[in-house]
Order: sequence, then C-alpha cells, then structure tokens
Amino acid sequence: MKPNDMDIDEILKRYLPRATPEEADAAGERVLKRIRALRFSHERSECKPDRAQPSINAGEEPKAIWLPARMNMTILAAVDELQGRGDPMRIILKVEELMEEMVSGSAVFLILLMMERMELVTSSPDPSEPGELDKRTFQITASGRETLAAARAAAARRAGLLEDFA
Amino acid sequence: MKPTVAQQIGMKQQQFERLFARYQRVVYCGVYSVTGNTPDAEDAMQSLFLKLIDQGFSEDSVRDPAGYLFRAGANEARQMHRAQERRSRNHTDDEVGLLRDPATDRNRGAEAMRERLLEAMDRLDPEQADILLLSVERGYSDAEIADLLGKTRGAVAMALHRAKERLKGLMCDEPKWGENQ
Repeated sequence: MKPNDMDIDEILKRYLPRATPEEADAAGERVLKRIRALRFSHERSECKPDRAQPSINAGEEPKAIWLPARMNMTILAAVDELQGRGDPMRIILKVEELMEEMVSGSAVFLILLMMERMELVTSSPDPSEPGELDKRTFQITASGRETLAAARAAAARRAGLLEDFA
Repeated sequence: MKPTVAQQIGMKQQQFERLFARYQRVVYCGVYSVTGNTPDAEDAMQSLFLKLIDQGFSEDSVRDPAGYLFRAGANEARQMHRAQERRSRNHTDDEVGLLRDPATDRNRGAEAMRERLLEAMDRLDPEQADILLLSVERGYSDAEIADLLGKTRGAVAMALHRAKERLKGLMCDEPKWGENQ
C-alpha cells in the first residue's frame, strides 16, 4: 500500500486501542489494590480505630462527643447512596463529594464506628481480608434510614423557617 | 525508622485515593492507547501513580490535570514498552516478514493492523505521538492541545498534520527495529 492510498484518519479511528470505561474501572480496581499494598499498608494499620481511638472499645458506651449535625447526616447519606458497597475510603470520598469540601478521614471513620454502635449502620468484613477494619463495607439500617429521613425533614423545616423569616 | 524523602514529600492515602478516583479512567485510556494490552497498561498505570505519590503531585499544580495525566500515562507506557523492547530485541525473521508484507497483514486481520499501527506510533517523535493521541483518543481540539503543551494553535495543527503524514510513511515502510534503541 502506498502512503497516498492510506486513509490514516480511518485507520486511527478503527485500530487505535481504546479502553471502555468498564475495562478502565476493572483495571483501576486491580491497580488500586496493588498500590495500596505497596505504599499505604502502614497507614492503614496506623489509622485502625483500636489504636487511634482506644476509648471506644467493645463493651464500653460511646462517650458523648460534639459532632456537626451536617457531617453526621452527610455520612449517613453517603452510606445510603453507596448501597452496601461503601468501604471507609469510598465513604470518605462520597462525603467530600456531597459536602463539596475536604473532610478528615479519621473523623468520618470514627463517626461510622459510633453509628454502628448506635445501630444506624451495619458493617460486613471483606471476605479476602476479614481482619482489616478499614476494608469493611457499611450499609444503612432501617433505623438509620428513619434517622436520615427525620434529619432531612428537620433541615427542610429549618430552611423553610429561614425563608419565611427573610 | 526514619522516613524516606519520598515518604516525607509524598501524598497521603486520602489524597491519593481522591486523585486516583478522579483520574484513573483518563490515565488508563492514555496507557492503553500505547500498549494495546491490559497487563502492560496496568503496569504502566501503577508505575505512573507510584511516581505521582512519591513526588507529592497536586492537580492544582497543572492547568489541565486530565490532559496532563493522559499524556503522562502515554509517556510512561512508551518508556516501559521501549525498555521491554530493548531487553528482548530478538525478533525472528518470520515476525519481521509478517510485518513487512501488507498482504500478510490482511490475512492476519485487524490484530495485525493494530500491531502495525502501535509499532508506527512508537516510532513517532514523543511529542507528535502525544498530539496525535490527545486529538484522536481524547478528542481535544488544536486550541486545547496548544493550551496544554504551551504552543500556538498553528504549531499544533502543523504538528498534527506532520504526525499523520509520518505515520502513513511508517506504516508503509519496512520496520526498522533498531530505530528506537
């Protein structure tokens, strides 16, 4: 074939390797696991709640702490939106997306564990790494869904009152 | 244990995961368009993200993070591919013959054409290859590529035209295996 006979745009369109979003996501999952193992295995163990927050050991009542209501509601909403597929890291990223600002990962992790004690969420271990707390996936409970609905209704009422006031 | 320099300036997991979630698709498209196969694309993607972690890369440091990372992915894949090629540059006479003969390509079908295209792309000047990929794979306009590379729109249009002409020539040429050494 001579160069002049060749439709290079057509060749590029037909033969340039292109990954589909699904292929990219599947590859991304595998690469992410490898990078976590290579670079962040020490950070995961450092932020395990039993080391970072010894005050919430099993059997103890959680101590009352002040938490911003918007943050709690957003974490519950994030767990709800992820529909049982949310590990702590995904939940943190979803919370940031919903709040449109950066949040403290440790704070989200701690609140998640407290919510589990309060039976607003439940968590299941990763079958391949059952001992890793930060690999657990969280799911909202019926009680959590009621709490979230009540919080949203209260927020809407407050917004209505402010509009009336204005 | 004293942290390494990379650990001191590198990014934290949360920052990395945010960056990865946002740009993993675009990086994968960049590496895959050069390698054309999943295992090599994953290796190149991993290698690039590890470098970004160690350098403490911030997306705020570049004007077009998606374009920048797409290009970085393609470059990483190109470098890895060339290193692998240098290590195993002992193609058989049959392999050379197959690539030399377009009629054989037709017999081998789309896979051979794709291989021929990738080989030719690999022999382009890296900047020409980047411009071509940004245009064809990402659908960037000449103006967007010019903005990303700090060039004029006219220069990009000319480079794109030359890249396509060179690619045509390379795809019709006999392969020159030693060219990239």
